Amino acid sequence: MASINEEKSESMSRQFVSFGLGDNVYGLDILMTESIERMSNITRVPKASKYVLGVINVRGDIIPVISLRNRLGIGEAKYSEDSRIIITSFDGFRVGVLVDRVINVFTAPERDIQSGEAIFQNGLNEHVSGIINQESGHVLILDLARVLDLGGSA
Amino acid sequence: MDSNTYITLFIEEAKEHIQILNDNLLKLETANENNEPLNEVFRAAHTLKGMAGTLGFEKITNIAHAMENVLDDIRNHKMEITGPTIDILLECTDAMEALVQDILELGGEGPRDIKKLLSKLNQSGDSFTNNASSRLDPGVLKLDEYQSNIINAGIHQGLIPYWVEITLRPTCLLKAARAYIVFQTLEKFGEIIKTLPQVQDIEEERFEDTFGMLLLTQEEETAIRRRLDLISELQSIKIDKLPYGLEGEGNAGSTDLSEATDSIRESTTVKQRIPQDRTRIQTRSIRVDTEKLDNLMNLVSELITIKNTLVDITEESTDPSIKESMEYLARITNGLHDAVTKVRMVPIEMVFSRFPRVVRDLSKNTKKEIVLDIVGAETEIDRTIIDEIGDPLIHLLRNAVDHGIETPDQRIKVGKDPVGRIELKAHHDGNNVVIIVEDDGHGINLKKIVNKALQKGLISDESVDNLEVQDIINLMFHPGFSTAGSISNISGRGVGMDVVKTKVESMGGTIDVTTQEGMGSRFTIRLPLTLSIIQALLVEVVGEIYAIPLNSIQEILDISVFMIKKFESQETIQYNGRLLPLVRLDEVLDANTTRKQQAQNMKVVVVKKGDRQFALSIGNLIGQQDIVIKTLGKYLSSIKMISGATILGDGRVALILDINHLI
Repeated sequence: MASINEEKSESMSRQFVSFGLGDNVYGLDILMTESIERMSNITRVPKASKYVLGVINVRGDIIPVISLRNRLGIGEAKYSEDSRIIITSFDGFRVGVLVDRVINVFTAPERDIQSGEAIFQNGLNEHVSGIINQESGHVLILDLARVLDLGGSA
Repeated sequence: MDSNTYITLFIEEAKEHIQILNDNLLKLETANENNEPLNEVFRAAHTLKGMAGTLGFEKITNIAHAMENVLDDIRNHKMEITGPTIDILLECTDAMEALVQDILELGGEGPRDIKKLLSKLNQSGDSFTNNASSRLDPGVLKLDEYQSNIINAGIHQGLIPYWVEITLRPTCLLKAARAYIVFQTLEKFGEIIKTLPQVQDIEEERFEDTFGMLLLTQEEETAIRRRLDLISELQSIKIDKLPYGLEGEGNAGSTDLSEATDSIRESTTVKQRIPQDRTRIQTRSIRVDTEKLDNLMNLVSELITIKNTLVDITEESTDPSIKESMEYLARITNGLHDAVTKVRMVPIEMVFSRFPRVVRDLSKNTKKEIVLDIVGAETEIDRTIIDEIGDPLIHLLRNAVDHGIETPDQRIKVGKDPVGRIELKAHHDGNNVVIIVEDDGHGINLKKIVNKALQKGLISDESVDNLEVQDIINLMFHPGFSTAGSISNISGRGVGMDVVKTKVESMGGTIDVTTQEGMGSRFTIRLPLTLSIIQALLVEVVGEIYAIPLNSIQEILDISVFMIKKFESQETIQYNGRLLPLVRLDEVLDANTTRKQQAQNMKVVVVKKGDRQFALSIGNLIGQQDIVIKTLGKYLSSIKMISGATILGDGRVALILDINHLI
């Protein structure tokens, strides 16, 4: 991946949705996001993974919602006025991701994206595929496939 | 429409015509007297030829053309309808079906070799190659009085009437243009009195490769031929002098004339007949992409959801006009839903129609004589189910032929009709469709099943004695169970009855088997009418709302806690004189069981899981409702006990329980 990124880096850039979770700022490739929803009633689904909060109704579609806090081991799901559910769509899967707050949408050239492997020791953080150094701070790019535990890499 | 649209249309229609071929060829085999199947086959082959020709699918065109020739011979009593002929014609149908499939998958006809098939066909109808224009049907080339007069007058002046028949090369692209050149050439010699087909049809290319003209000229035949020979792309030129009597009012000559023109007439009349038939059938229906229907269904589902929401919101209102409007809205949405559901319904014939062919082939392979009786093919069922039910039914039919029906010898020995009978029946029963596959074979050999199950370690030696008939039959549905002693190419394809059962259950249906030694077996499949909206009981379990499909509920009971008897750790209740295990829904669902003090009374639903019953304790009963089933999506597909979800009136989501996977 890294070498390909470098080759194409001159012209390519990607867009991300950035959001806050605990003390960190994370980013999600905008191509994998469908919409951002406010909190609504979540219906619990029995026998689902611990980090699956349940399902919600998004304009007539039933969408599972996971708590990113639980998933990344930052603690239990927290609900506040700022809480948002980012509806992601990836490889036929549509899943809502509950985050503490959504910050903005930003564009970053490929060359500014540092591979996650370069920073974390041996897969220490399997959910982060890269890091971008923004003026306001660092943004951790989420590896959605890994976060959703779909196998493979996004 | 781009060419892709044409191809899609072609594929759809080709499939229909192939089905017609299949159906009617089978009818031909049994009913020689009746001409209707033969005509149907002819029409279908002819239409296929035309359609494929237009789109440049040569192989289909060639096969259809060769079929037509054979059929024509049959129609003209030049050939007998025999088993082998039908076999070859069916083979052709299969080949065309395969080619259509190729077109669907590869976008073209693919590298299939059809030469062998064609030569086979040619042998069977060996007379057809050079008799294409030598048939006789009196009264075809009827000349009207005016034309007869012209000819008579011409003959008086020493002119000769010729019947000129031109066959173009099949590869000829601009047939009308070629015909025009022929006209031009002939008109230099004299007058063209009549053409077959009519000039207009020729100009618009509404003819096969052959057309004919009645030419009145003083030239010799050889001179005409010499000129015509210069025109390219002509396959054959036939020039016959008409034995036209002077006294003839057109009738005298018609016999001879028509002999030469039958093949032309054939193609034109057939062409005319088809549009007539089609308009009669098709003016009242249109083809709609199922995707559009699905979309419509989704919108109606949305409408029902929002209607439920409105009902909830306006419930408290005392304004009579609101109440009235709401009732009206409810009526309309229900009506709309019914209408859309009906639109999505298609006769089960769509699946059934291919079975006579399947059974015929199977019976040939197994050397068994079998009649397939189809009853209730007009029964309508949801489109989505149609797509799914075919394979399970084929499997059951295969089983019936392979394991059920005995060989003719065996049947005679036990005093049965040597011809075995398989009945395939469908009918509506309330909100269900019932499909029955029944054979009059030797029934399921229960001992064999037990032995097999022992062999495979599905049951233990000790338990054998306790097995009831139903238990043994259920073993058949066990994954990996196949009763065929040796794997035959008919039923032993590694697909077991368990696949049938799984498939049926995945559609919310059930399958039951009854069998009687020596008398036969009956498989009964029950399916919901539609997969997208069901009746369900809404229940509340510790603050959460769940939907239980009504068709899995047998009874709702009010019981007192004192009626619960505990054996070891299993709670049970008495029901109809038997003990039923009691399952507490809140525990199964891991609900927040900080149980408030136990109420004295509780609500229990008796549900059926396969052939076992159990009692399910529910919290509060909310009521019965039509619910729109929505999938939970791929991400949660591993959770078997939830079959889907529905959106409640207030926008919240309620999960639908799958009783079969609850415990």
